[in-house]
Amino acid sequence: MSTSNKYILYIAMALMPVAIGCNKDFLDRDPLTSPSSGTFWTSEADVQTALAGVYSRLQADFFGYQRVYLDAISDNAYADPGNAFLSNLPALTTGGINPGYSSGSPLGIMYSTPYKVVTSCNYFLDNIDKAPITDAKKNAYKAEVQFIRALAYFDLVQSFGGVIIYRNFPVTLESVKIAKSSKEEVYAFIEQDLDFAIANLPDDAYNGHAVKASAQGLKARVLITQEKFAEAIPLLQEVMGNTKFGLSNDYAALFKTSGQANAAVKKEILFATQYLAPNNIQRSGQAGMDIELGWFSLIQPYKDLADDYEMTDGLPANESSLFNAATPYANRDPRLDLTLRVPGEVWKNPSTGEEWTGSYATSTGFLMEKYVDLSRAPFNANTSTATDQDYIHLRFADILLMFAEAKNEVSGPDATVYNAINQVRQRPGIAMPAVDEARYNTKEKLREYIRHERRIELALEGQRYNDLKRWKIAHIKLPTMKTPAGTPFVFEQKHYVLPFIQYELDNNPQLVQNDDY
Amino acid sequence: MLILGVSLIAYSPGLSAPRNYTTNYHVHHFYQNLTVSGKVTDNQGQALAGVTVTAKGTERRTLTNDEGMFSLELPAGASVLVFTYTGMQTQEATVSGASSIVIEMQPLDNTLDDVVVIGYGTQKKANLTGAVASVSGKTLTQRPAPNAANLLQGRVPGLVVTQPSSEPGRDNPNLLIRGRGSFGTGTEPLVLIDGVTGSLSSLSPDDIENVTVLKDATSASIYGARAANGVILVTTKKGRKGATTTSYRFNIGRHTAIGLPDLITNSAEYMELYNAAAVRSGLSPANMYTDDQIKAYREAADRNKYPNFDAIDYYFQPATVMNHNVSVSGGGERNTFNLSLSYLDQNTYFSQYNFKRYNALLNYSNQLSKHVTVGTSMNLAYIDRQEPPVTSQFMALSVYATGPLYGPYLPDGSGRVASKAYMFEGRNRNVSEYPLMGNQYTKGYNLNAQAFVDVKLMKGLTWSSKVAVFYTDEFFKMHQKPYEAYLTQEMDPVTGDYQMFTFGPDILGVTDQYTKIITPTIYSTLNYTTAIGDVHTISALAGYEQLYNRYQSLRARRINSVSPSLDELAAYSTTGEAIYFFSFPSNHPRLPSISQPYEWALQSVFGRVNYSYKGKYLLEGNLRYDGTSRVSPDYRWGVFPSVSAGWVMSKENYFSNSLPFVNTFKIRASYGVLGNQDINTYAYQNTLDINVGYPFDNNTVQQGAVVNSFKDQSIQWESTRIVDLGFDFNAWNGLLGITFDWFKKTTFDILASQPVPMSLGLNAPTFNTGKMRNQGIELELSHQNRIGDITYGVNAQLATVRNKVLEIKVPSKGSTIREVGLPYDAHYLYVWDGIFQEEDLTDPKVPKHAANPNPQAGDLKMKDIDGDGDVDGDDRVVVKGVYPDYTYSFGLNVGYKAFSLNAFFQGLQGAAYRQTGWGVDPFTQGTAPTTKWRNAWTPENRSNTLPGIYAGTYVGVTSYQASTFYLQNASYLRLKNIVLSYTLPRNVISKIKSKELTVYVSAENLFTITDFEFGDPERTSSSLSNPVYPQARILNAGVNVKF
Repeated sequence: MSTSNKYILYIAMALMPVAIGCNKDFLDRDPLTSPSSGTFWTSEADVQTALAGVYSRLQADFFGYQRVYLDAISDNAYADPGNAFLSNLPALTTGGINPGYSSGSPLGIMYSTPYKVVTSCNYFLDNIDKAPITDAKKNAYKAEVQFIRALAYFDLVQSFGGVIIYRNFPVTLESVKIAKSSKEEVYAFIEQDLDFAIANLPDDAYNGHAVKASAQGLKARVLITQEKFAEAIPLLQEVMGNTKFGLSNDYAALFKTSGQANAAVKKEILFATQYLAPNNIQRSGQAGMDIELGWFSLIQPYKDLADDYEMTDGLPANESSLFNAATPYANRDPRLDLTLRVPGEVWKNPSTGEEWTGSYATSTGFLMEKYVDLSRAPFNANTSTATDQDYIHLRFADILLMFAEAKNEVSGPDATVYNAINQVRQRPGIAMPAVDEARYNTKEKLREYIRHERRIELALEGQRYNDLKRWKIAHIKLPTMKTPAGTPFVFEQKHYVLPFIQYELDNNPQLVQNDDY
Repeated sequence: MLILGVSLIAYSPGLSAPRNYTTNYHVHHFYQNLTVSGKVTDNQGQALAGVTVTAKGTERRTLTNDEGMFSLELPAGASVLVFTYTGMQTQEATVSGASSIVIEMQPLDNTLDDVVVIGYGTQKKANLTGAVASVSGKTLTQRPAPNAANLLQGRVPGLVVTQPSSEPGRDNPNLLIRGRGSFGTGTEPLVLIDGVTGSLSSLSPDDIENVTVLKDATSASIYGARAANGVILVTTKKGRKGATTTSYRFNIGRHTAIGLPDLITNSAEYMELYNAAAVRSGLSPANMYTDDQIKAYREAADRNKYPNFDAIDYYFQPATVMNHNVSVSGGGERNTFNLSLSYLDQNTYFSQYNFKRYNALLNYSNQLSKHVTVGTSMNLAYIDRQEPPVTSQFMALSVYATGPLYGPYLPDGSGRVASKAYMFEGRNRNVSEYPLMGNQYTKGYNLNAQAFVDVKLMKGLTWSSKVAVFYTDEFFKMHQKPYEAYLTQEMDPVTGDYQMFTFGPDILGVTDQYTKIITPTIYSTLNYTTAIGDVHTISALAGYEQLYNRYQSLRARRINSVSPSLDELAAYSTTGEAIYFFSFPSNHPRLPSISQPYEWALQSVFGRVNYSYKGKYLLEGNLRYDGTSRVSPDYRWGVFPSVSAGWVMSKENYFSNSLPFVNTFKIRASYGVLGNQDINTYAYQNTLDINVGYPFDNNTVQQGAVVNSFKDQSIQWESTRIVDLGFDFNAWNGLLGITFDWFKKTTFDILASQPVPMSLGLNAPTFNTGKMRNQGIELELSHQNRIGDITYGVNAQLATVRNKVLEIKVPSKGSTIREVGLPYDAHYLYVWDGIFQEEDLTDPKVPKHAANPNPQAGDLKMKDIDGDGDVDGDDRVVVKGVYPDYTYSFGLNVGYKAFSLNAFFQGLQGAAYRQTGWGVDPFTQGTAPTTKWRNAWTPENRSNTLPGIYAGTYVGVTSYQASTFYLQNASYLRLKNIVLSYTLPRNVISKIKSKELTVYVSAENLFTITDFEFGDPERTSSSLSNPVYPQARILNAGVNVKF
């Protein structure tokens, strides 16, 4: 080897490390154990995974099984103060609504959980265009996600009025700290999302995914909440004419896992938050509806609700000959027994016949029976791994009652209104008498009756609180109530919108507190 | 130390002549063409082979042979010999009449002619402008401690080394340079072995040539984004040209536990005190000893059945530690090599422990031509650690919890293991249960492999490149199985045999864990030095570096086997198996840490320019441009500059004229910015959490993915700005040396969590928000002298650091406080104010205690600081002591003929630490009270210093664990090491062909002066609820021999 060749070799040796080093992507290192923005959104499977992520947000707090606790801040039920997941809930009925609560309090999660849903939706919507799928498919997926975003904003606007609208996933923290929009702007945004959903969702039976009827039903509810009754009617009529949906043939089965799997029952469901034992249950630990409601008695319905159920002759108890003060809850609308455990009632496991006597004491005398699956009794620490009944956000009976309400508001009583109510009252197993058309013959009288029917049919499903608010009667009805301890309810005009908690105001200086807080 | 002397002796080969020391050269006139012969030794009198002896001004030179002998014929006109040797000061000797001379070379340590290792090169200490401290391996290995990292303790001002315990293989110290620099990320300095990432703890101490600590911005900024917490550069021993030397070192040490509590060991006394405590604490009478039981113990004739067992004495047995090192090093004209093999066998107080470390080091370099040198370094460590299934503080606390009522085994002689005496007793496992419960081991390999090539491109220009891989492979296995243990005092009513009782295994089955970490590094530098006349010296460095790190691990556990004594996973069924579990049960302290696999990479260019004007005015500038994978591409690259200047005043004529006794006086200043890229690996990336799913149509659960945390795409590394002012002073040829530094180190952009609006819909992100400052001084004094046959030296170091939080988004208050203006995590405690006496209970002036609303006499009383009549959270105050006021150390060395004595003291002042639980709170898990509790408060003994005795937790005392009652002054001064060595006379060792043979005895931690009662004051945490695994007092004996 000549000297010059040697030099070339040495220099090559010295250069080698530098040559190895000049790799352009050397500093691009993506996480190895979880997908990241750098490695995701490359297939339809990724889109479906992200979509399941968005839906999984609905399993938390008031979007999931815990939504029934919203009835416990209404005149329907008392919230047991021993609920560790929702402490401070009872105080919200007795004047305790103030901005001082923590971010983990019910007031905090009413605000934070919908925004978790919104952010998940925005992440999906901002990224799906990266995926190599057709535009039609993209639009169908986007429609599902926009439906869910609308569901979240609807919750926010009902609770807090005008709130901040985020159309995109946050890029910087400063971009999040912005002012709120007006209530009208929020509703417009919700309607826009739902219009896109209605236009792009498949017209299928409910299959766990949002379908066209889910979006139509939700939009109708959004509209009647704004008292845009006339606009709601065609949407509701379209759903009522959709043969893929109808009333369940079994009222009680609607709220149990086995029933929800039955096509004849399931056809009533337009949208639900779903769970599946044993790996995707309502909540791990000693929790879930069976344990919380059936064992720990965390929701205790008021007598005020029980007394509102008609006698089987269709009359209020105080007018009916069937009423016997010794057995006040006998001969009632069958839905009473399927919704409440009344004093003296014995619970049995329907499959084993074994009595379940383990429920904690109730201070009102009543317990919630709707959504409690006694076939899993006796309830114990392991029951939670089997507790997976879906929480139903929207069902066909609600569509019928919304139609009755909207039609009555627009044009007063007519056959279509009575018919819609009667369908609900006369489903198999309930068979209540038809509406007394002579008695409820004016718009005002029928309005009261529809509201009554709605309270009964949808009792303890988390609807009552927002119904009272949209009917603007919360400040009239609620102050007539007392807690089991005798503390009077407080509901003033300002309570129609909730305050933003101080933590939120501290961390977003642009956010202005609601009036009177 | 400068030149101390040259001795001239009459020397004949084969004879050893008495040495005459003089303090000056003897100069005589003589003839020309003289042949001079002689011998060269080091300052310890050991022969030095391979010393270059040159006749000054000529090309005539020779090397000393194995015995240090040389012979050189001086050309006409030459009368001065120059002696040069790496690591030693160059010496000149004028030759006169005598034809045979002895030269004693002086090491470069503590001299300004020293060459120190700095980032990507070396520099003369005289030209340094930064705060750099250097320690030779020789100084470090004066202490024969097993773990090399611990040897740095007290050797470098500003580097605080805290050894957590003496537990084998778990004694890696906490290293902190100039205080705690961050609360967002790591605070450990960057440790580089021969320029690349490596493990100091797994290095054999014998293989260390020297350690350099880069403390300020100018010295460390060449390492840019990794240098914020300082840099420790370790250089391993290389071979030297000259004859091959074989050396062997053997050390044997005996470890004895220290810092142990003085517990009551009389059973009857224990039981009576326990009953009193149980009554005070409101325990049920069923959970107390009966009079009969107490009587049985008090009056027992059979001390086998009713022992007064001293668990500490029994379980903490002295242990033996041995290490061997053999090295062969040398080199020819073109190559040098050093091959070194080490073996450490470390036992500890408990029988199930054993730690073995095997090290092999090969450093080899070959000069291919005048211009090209290539070389390689292979440094391999294999560690093998055997342990009981419970280690560290848990081992110590179960000894304490044993109490005096039962020994290790049942009194019936069957050899069956005892768990406790009575069923009702709340105890931990008996230590004798651990061998039955199982065992665990860790086997790990560390390989640091390097290859380099240096090319001299032209005069003054060198191109150096290095490729290195640091690879760690670790395997951990824990094996636990069911076992039986019995109560010593209760019989099973059915069988009539001893009642069985045990907690059983706590991580049943076999747990395997594999971890691999690989870090390849490549760097290449160009180094150019030139001088313009005798006036200007300029040197410049430019370089490129990249490094990559990947961590991989797997942990798996199986529980069910037909034969639970087997310890292979395959011998167990898959039922209940767990793969890759992080936290079972949540963050289990018995399992080694594990994290998800990750990788990161760093790419850098850097440069340095030095300018010296006549060696008087020195300037240095550094720049590093770093890119890291941990930061998003838009913010990935950062610039880390530094500048510094030095003025060697002693070289000014007016200075040397007026203060001729000053050898050196240099003042220096530096300023720069360093980075800390040791942030979360994927901190900027929106990662998706895949632990979610949704069961569409209640069919199967569709895997989901959600973004849970907001990531600030613009986050960057933390940065640290350091200002350093210092001086080096040396006078009277080593009689006084002073190095002083003042620094202000401000860390900003600390990554910390920050509260966010909930409408963000995501968890709070990490932002660059925090700011913290450390400010302090470092002082080092040295004195070296020789009086007659006695050489002696004193070296003392002192360092202070004041820590202050300047900005923090989420202040917090607990037993420690994080708030602007205070030291980070300062003690935040109730102020203890004596003991409640009977009359205090009704005295309205005594404040109400929120945590103890219904006090009894004998409870702890706290001060009502805000005077509102209540002792509540508002009455806590900041109490100093989390950080010491200063740390210090001093060493003495005395040499007399062949004897040498070194003593090394180390300590800290102004620290106060808190300890609760075992050994502090009486009867915690049954732990016997310490003997001081004999003087506890009783109605008759109205103590105002010790409350009434209580059992474990008791509202009247332990509610106030966050009070100054539990805080003690942890200042200490410790004789860290003392060593006496004797070098055997040459005429003795030459008979075995040895060049050198030294024997020594030494002691570690021989005594400690401290007021701290709660175990050893040397600890890594200022607040503990578990006792520490004890430190050791070590008595060593050893031998060094060279052939």
